[in-house]
Amino acid sequence: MILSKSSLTHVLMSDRPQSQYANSMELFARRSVLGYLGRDVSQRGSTRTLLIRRMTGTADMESGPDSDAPSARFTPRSHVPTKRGASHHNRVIDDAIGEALRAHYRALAEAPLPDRFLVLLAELEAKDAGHDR
Amino acid sequence: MTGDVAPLGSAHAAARTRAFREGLVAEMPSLRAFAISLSGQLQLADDLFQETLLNAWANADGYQPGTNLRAWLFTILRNTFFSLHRQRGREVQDSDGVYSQRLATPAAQEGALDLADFRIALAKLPAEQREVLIMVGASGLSYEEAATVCNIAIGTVKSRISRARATLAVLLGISGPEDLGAGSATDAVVKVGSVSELR
Repeated sequence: MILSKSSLTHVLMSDRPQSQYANSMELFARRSVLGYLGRDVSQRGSTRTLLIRRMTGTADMESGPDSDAPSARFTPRSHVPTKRGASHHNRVIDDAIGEALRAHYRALAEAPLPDRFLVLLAELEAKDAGHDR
Repeated sequence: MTGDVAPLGSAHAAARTRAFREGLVAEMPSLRAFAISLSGQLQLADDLFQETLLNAWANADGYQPGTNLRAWLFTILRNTFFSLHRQRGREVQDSDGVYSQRLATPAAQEGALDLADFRIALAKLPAEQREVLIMVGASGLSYEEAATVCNIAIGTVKSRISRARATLAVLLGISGPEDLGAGSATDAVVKVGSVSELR
């Protein structure tokens, strides 16, 4: 079964509850997303809402005991996110942005400085020296 | 700032100690980098940079030894920037990053993000967010120093930086570590889903 990125995006952006997923492809996509989120497939709330909760680090705050029942839970091999995982994600993103920011700035600062600015400073210093005499 | 520049007279020469002059020279690369970040255009940036050097020189007695010279110079540069724009009677151009985007990317580029993509995203940030992000995230100023430079509250600096980071993450399409390495989050979802579904 092949699921294209565009159909998945369509499902992610949709706000319809599960019962309205007539298309089995969409239901499958929803199951995949819920699996990624470490959630019960019968979990209420739109996929989009769940994803937003997950991304904002509030994914686990509203999970009731039902969603933790092993039989009902769709458990992927990896990626069972926790709150700690969410803050770890944010830190990884911030680190990457910080790194790029410093690289960008370093490139600007390392660009060769035109001589005229050093000449200008030398002229200003010479003026001071003239006044001191 | 340019309106009330002190004359380059001997009364101010005393403030221009050797330490000040050496400090100024040492800060020039960083100061010019900040000028380019603010103005976005190289010609504009160098006019701004030169004007800032003159203003800093003329107002050397306003610098308190022991405080961060970079932050002091950034304040002058920023004031000069707004004053130049008022003089030229035009809006701040939304062309930031035009020059920096043309800069060659270092051959041995490290890091998870593509620098060219990053520069395009950075240029799309509101100017008020970009300046504090550059100051704190790249040039090494503290939140407090950045707040003083912009004459705003520390909390405002923090919230601007936080919004800038969030916007950059969206513009760059990163929502988690998966997006920084090989494969994206959506790929991971599809992979996990299909393996489990087929069994």
